[in-house]
Amino acid sequence: MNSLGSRPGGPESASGTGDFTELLRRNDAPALRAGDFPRVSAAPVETHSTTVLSFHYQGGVIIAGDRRATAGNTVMYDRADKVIELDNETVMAIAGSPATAFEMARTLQTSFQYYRRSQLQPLSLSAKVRALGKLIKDNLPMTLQGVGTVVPILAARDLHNQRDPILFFYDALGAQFQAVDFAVSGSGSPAARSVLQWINRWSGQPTSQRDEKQAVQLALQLLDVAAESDTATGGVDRRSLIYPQVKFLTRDGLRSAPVEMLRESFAALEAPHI
Amino acid sequence: MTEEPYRWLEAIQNRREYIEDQLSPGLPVVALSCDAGVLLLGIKTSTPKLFEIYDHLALGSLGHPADIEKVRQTAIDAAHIEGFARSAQDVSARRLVSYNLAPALKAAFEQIFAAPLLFRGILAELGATPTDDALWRVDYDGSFSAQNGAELAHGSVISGPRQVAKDWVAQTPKSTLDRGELKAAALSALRLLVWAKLRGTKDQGIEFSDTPSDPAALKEKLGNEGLEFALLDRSLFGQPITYRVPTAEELGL
Repeated sequence: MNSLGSRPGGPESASGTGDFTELLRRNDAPALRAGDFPRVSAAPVETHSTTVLSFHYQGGVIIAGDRRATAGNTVMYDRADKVIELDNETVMAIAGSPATAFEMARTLQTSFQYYRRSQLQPLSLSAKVRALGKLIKDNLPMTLQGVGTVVPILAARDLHNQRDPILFFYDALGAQFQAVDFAVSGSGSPAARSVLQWINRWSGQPTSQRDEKQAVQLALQLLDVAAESDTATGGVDRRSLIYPQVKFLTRDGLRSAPVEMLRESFAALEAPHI
Repeated sequence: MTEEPYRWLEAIQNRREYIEDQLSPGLPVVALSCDAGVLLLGIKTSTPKLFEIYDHLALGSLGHPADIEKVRQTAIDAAHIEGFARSAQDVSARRLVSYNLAPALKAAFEQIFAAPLLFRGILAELGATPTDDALWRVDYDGSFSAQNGAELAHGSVISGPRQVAKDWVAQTPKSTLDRGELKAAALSALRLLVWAKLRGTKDQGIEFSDTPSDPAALKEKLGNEGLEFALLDRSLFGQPITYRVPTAEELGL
């Protein structure tokens, strides 16, 4: 510790940097890090998911994800939460292996709070974006073995410099890219990407011109399209009230779409076909 | 020198006297559990004295800013490692004080050839209900005491002169502070702060009942120094951040 830490009873501190992963390393606490993973000769049947998507709309950014997690041909779970709030200004939508992705989310959630509390200032947007890239890069040994791959989307806003939310997507090696219009990820995402590209170029009403209600409807439609062609993407189970997760990141903050709102949006979408 | 027991005792005694002397000008900090949460109140200085430690933990402190920083950082490190390795619910003020802060402070205090830590603090823990709250007073030598359950009605105070907190704990009959509404609790906390400040400086015979019950008069007693306050907000209990700085209007101060 700075002096307390070097004495018995206290943890070895990383206060100089506010880096939580460094704090974990110094104290031999369990952490996601490169080189710790055993080499596997035969990949296990891994739990996968997903279609997650995000696009700009009039009010900010909407982030949505289906709820299905699969292992091979088996549906493992139909209530997976893939759109995860890292803090009040940052949302991560995960695609890939939930085992790694959930741990990445926990690491980032704690890292952001640790930095803010220890340094008495919030972590910048750029540092948050990079922190996720670093975790993905640290996961490279697993990625190269074909297990534990995570390819997320990040939506974030900077309270000081950039109040409008920004979208980022990543590749499996940790490179980050800022998305101008939309970002998608997961096995069902190619279908959603095609639709979004068509909408933004040809529909006459790009997503950025749509209001919140229209944005929710579009997100639900996109997930439905993805579920049609991808078995790893779940649809809507109205009997069990299992709807996709939808969150809004706007200048006013972060909030989730309640189930009732999703139910009504879905009902409105179906009406013309009845 | 320190191989001889009596010399060691003398050295420790000298160290204690030195630390107490250094701490004596320290301004008081008050913590009070109320329906709205746990309120911390201090006198505003050039360096902050109230800090967020973890989701449901806050620290009120006095002493040397660099030493406060070391203790604060130790508490934050330990809380976050525990919260990450297990869960936020497993992070408790009791475990943080008993197994991290107190041993580290005691070890630092007894290293008589190293510079001493000038620190005194209150670690406040927010519970689901007011009876689940806890206030832990921690001192530079690693000694600590807890206040919970019915004892919370009395509030907790630390001050530069050690005797002030002792007097407050020993008070009989004990003053029960109004801590229903947030504004009432803030007024009670301010009265206790004024009592502690005067008790430690100009008016060592002052009783709590002698303090005014009007915010303006109380502030005047503090020489119109600014106030620093923080709230562990019970309405946010269970969320990652319960610590917030309420407005003066919210507190009626």
